[in-house]
Amino acid sequence: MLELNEITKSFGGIKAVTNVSMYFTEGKITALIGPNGAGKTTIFNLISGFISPDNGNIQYKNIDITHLSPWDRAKLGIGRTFQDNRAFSNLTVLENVVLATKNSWFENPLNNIINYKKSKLEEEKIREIAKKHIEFVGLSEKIDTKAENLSYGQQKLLAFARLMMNDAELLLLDEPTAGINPYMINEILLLIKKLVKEHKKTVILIEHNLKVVLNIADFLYFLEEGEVKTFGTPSNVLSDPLIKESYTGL
Amino acid sequence: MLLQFIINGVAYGSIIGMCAIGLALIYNTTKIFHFAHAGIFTISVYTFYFLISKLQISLILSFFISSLFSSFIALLIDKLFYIPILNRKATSTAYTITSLAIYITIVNIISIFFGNETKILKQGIDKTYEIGSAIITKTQLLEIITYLLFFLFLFLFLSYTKTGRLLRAVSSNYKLSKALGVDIKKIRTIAFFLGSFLAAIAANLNGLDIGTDPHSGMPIFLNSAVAMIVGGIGQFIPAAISGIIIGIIQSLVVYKFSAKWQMATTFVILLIILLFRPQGIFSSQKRIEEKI
Amino acid sequence: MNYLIHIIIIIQIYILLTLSFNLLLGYSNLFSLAHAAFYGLGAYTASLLMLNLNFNYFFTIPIIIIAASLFSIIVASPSIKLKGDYFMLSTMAFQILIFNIFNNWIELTRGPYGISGIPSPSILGYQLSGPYIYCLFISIVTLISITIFYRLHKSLFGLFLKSIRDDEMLSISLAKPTYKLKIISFVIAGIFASIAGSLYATYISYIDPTIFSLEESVFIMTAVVVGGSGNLKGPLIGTLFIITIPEILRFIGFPDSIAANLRQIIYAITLILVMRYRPQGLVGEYKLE
Repeated sequence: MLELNEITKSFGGIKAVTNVSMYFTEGKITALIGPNGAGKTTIFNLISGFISPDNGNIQYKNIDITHLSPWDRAKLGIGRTFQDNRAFSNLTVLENVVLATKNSWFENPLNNIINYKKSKLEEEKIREIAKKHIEFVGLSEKIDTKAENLSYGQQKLLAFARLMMNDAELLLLDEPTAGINPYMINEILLLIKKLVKEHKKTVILIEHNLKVVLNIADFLYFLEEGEVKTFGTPSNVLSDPLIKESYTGL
Repeated sequence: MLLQFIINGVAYGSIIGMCAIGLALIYNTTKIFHFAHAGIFTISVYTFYFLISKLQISLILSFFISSLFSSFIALLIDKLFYIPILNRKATSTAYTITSLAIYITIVNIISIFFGNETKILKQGIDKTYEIGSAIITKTQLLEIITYLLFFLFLFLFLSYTKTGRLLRAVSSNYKLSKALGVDIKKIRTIAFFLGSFLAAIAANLNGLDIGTDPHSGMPIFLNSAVAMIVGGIGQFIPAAISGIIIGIIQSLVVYKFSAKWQMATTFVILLIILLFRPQGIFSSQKRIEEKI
Repeated sequence: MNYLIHIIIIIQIYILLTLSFNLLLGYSNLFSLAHAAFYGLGAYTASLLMLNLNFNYFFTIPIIIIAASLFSIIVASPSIKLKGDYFMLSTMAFQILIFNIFNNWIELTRGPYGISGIPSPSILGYQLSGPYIYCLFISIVTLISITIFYRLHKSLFGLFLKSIRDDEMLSISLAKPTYKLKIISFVIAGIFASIAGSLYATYISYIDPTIFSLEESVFIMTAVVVGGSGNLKGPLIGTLFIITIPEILRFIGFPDSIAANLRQIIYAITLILVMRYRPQGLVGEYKLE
């Protein structure tokens, strides 16, 4: 599904990611773990195209996407969430999801002005789909609430609904369970599993909570100081003495 | 002839340079695009005019009273208008609008009280000195000397005093400085006071040189803003040097073409810098600006 | 009565200016100070074509649209890459350059003397002159424009723009070509401001550069910020506010010598208060925080 080949990226002389190669399988959940500053978010930014690598290349479904713009990559089905929980705060939940539509017909203002009736009909269809996604993530009651008035956890759910509306096939989830209560964590984990099983999504996630990782990940990459230290199935990686040292809390 | 225009350019550039350092002090520490700086400029020169012509106070005393007075007004502006929206986490747009509005208010109040016509502050005819085929007036000389003194002062202040170093620290990394416990409030006050004082001195000198009208602050402010950006945001000394360069270019435009293209030239320079070298001409390192 | 009609016509010209500026500020979060440049571009293009080349007003419209689109792209494509203060400065630079061209290219624009004797529009030989006829004509134009902006406001295109305003990064991550969308909104705004300019020129029949200065850009911005942005109500209320204030001052009977200054002070203080206490303006949707 996605391949990173010998990627290197430095910021102002400081290497953030060094010679990283990774492989992600379709329909699986892969977790990136490692201490802060290991380069995990940088890898997300490299995959989603917000930064471009100094060296190396990125292949997605056998297409070289190394030099594509972030919106082109999103068009190809690479979706992401952000660590700091972004949402269109002045817009309602429904609007947040509706605007994630891939339908580019609306990007031409003339279509909206001249063909107003048709655009309204199309919009109604999109609205119906959006409502289904909102129901799927369990936010139906909040459908007309402004995003800024949602709780932290609800904003994370909203992000899932947006990605589904956006038809993302590869989901990059940056700390999906950080900062939310245990009950909500379970809900989100179920949601991720459901996305993979029922909707055939591929998931890469950054996660600090090792219980979460053990619960859902099929494969792990452990990073430190911008390099891949070890990788494999969760049980294999987590039995590594090196990792145990880093995560004494487990 | 050319030499004469260069002398005029250096003198005008000194005015721009002083305003530019003043603006840089304020912009670098607060990130407010302080249009009201032009208002402070105008307040100072009109206070100066009022003190010497209406209250008959001596020139030197009036000069300093008006500079100090307008610097205090600047502190008041910060306290009454900027700090409240800072507490609301305002964006640059909110500051720009507020600052523009303050400027408009100041200029119109001055215009109501003093009228729109040009006021002459100079008493008698300036003494002149000959440099080769060109002449320099006493006021022009004073402008250049004041500029050089401030330049030296600022260099020493920023390099060798604790406050100066803190100012530079806050300018280059606001968040880090705050996290390290720098007294941001104090630095902000110093920046506003010193920055406005510089603009006020420049305003008074410029007033002595060519007189003033309520709108005379704006072109000098715009030139100094361009000088600041040409020098590079976060810097102080380059802003001062760019001020001189822009002064000379402006003067040469008058020499080669016509005074009516002066402002256009400044903004062509600005556009070229913004489009091709937004980090400024003196900064060797390109700023690390990721899209996040 | 004629005076009232005059005010209604002026209000409608400003409605075009503020609705188009709102598309920039309230939807795409582009704080432009070049709007008066587009206003002037339309006014000068229409006037020069009509006077020098004997164009019918309605045939100048396609040329104005092309000129405004081109100029919008010239201004927007580099400026949009710059953020915050730098975007504002870049648009301000273009505003001042255009003003200088109007003012200094005397062979073409007659500079500070301005252009007078601009004819009224005519349809099939019938002159749309006189306040009533012109008012009717401009009301039709305004109605069409409001419909267009209403449709943009209600459509997904408008929603896409609002997403850029709220969080551009997130918008990009959802496959929105934000750069292109911002340019498009700048072009639409530029076209409507230019058309407003052409209407002004043919109505007043005289233009000079001072009408299209940086102060005018600030004036248009004032209306939208005070009324509020991000919906249609805001700019409409804002326009009424800025146009009626001078009339009220006149009614109260302030001496003419200070009325102009006083007007400016009232606008400026209102701006300060709005920024401080009501960043969404009187009836706006988008909070300018």
